[in-house]
Amino acid sequence: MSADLSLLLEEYYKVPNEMKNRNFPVHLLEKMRNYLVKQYEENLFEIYEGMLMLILNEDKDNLKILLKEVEKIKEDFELYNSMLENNTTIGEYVNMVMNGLQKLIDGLKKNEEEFYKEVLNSDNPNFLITTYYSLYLRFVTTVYLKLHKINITNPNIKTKDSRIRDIFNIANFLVGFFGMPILIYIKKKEVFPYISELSGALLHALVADRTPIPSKDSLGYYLFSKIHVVKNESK
Amino acid sequence: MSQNEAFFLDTNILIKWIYREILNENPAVEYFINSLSKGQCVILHINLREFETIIYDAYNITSHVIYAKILSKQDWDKLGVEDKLRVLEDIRKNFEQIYDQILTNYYNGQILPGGIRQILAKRFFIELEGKLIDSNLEALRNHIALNQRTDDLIDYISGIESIIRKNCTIFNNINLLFNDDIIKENQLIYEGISKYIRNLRSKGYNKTPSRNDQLVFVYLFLLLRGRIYDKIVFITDDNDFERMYNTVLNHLKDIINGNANPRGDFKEYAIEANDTLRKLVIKGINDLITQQKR
Repeated sequence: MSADLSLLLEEYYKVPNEMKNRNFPVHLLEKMRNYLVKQYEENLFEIYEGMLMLILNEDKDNLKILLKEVEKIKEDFELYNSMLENNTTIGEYVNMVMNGLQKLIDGLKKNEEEFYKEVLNSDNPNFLITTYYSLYLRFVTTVYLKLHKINITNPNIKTKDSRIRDIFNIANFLVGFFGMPILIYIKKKEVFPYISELSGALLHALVADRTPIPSKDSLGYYLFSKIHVVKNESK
Repeated sequence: MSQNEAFFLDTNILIKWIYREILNENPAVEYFINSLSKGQCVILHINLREFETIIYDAYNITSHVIYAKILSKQDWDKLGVEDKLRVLEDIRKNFEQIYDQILTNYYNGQILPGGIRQILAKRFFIELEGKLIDSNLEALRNHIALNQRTDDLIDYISGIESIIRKNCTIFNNINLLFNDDIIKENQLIYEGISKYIRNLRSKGYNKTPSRNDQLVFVYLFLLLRGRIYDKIVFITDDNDFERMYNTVLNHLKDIINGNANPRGDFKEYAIEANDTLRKLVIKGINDLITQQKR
C-alpha cells in the first residue's frame, strides 16, 4: 500500500519518472524535510495567513501580496515553475492543477483506511500521523471545492497574465506544503516534528469554514455536550 | 472608551476560561470575560490554533489509550458489563501512568509533556466511558482508530468555537498591508525579540518565547500600527510576554538614543515603533480580577 500512496504523492511533486518509488532519492527527502522545518520556523506567518485566506474566501488582492512572500519558498518546491506559467494558457493551467488535485484526492481516499491500519499495526502506532492524514484529505478536498467554484471567464490568455492565477498558485503551494509530512512518513517512517502544530492549523481552518451540524452518533458532539453544555445551562 | 480599544486573550487565558471547571479555576476569569462586549474581547487565530492544538494532542492520546487498552483486546465485545467496568476503572486509576508511558514510547518530541494535555485526556476518557461500554467493537474502532475520529474532533472543536464566538471576536484574517516603513519598523521589533532570546540563552534559560508568542507580538504590533485598534490590552497568565515586550522597548530606546545604531538611520523608524508599542498594555489576569472586585 505504502508504495501506491508514495507514487501518488511523488506524482504530485513532479518527481521525475525514472526516480519514482524504488529509486526515490531519500537524501533529497532529507533535504526537503530540513527545508520544510526551516520554512515552518521562519515563514509561519505567511503559511497561516495563506491558508486562512484560501479557506475562508478572502479577497484576492491580499493573496497577491502574500504570494510575493511565498514565491521564494514555492520556487524551491518546483511545483509549477514560471516556465510553465509562461507557456500555458490559464485554461490549461487550471486544468493541470485541478487534475493534480483530483488524482491526489482519489488516491488519498482509496488508501485511507489501509494507511491507518498499517500505521496502527506497526511497531510504532502513532495517532498524530493518522489524524493528520485525514485532516489533510479534508483540507485538499475543501481546497478543490473552493477552486472548482471559480469562474474562468477567459481561458485563452497566458497564465502569467491571468488574474486568477494567484489563487491556484497559492492553493498548489499549500497542498504541496502540507502533504510533505505524509510523504516523509511513508518514506522514512518518521513523524514530522511540528506535526501537531500543523494539524492544529488544518483543524482550525476546517472548523472555521463550516457551520456545525453535528451528527447524533458523533463522539465529539457527545463529549462537548457532557463537558460544556450542561455547565452552561445550569448557570 | 470612545477609542477602539480591545482586550486580547492569551492561550493560557482561553484554557482557564473554557476548562475552568475541570481545572478548578477561579470563576472570576469567566465573569471578567462575560463583562466584556463581543467587540472588546478578541482572540487572534494564532492563539486559538494553539489552544486547539492542545485539545488535539490530548484527544489523540485518549484515542491511543483506548486503542492500546481496549481495542487491541479482541474480547471486549464478549465481556459482561461488570467486567467492562472493571477494565475501565483500572485504566482510570492508572491513567497518568499509562499516559506517560504512551507519551514516552510513541510521541517523544512530538507532543509536549505538560499537565493540561494530560488532564484533558483523562477527562475525555472518563466522559467516554459510557460510550465505551455501550458501543460494539466495530463502531468503536471506527470512531477511535479510523476516520470518524477526525469528524469527532471537528465536531468537538466546533462546539468550543461556538462558545468562544458567543462572547468574543475571533480575528481570523488580518488584512494587513505592508509598506516599506512598516517592514523596517518590523525589522526592529524582530531584532528586539532576538535580543531578548539571546539574553535568556546566555543566562542559561532554556525556556524562551515560543514562535507563537513571537508571532502574537508581531500581530499586535501590526494591528496597532495599521490603526485597526487604538489600544490593545493583552491578557495573559505569566510574565513571559511582558519581559519580551520590555526588551523590545529597550532595544528601540537604544536606537533612539544612538546607543545601538550610531549612524542613526533607523532612528525615525524606532520612534514610530516605540510610539506604536506604547499603545499595547500587558496585564496579568489576576490584576484585572482584583481590580474588578474593588
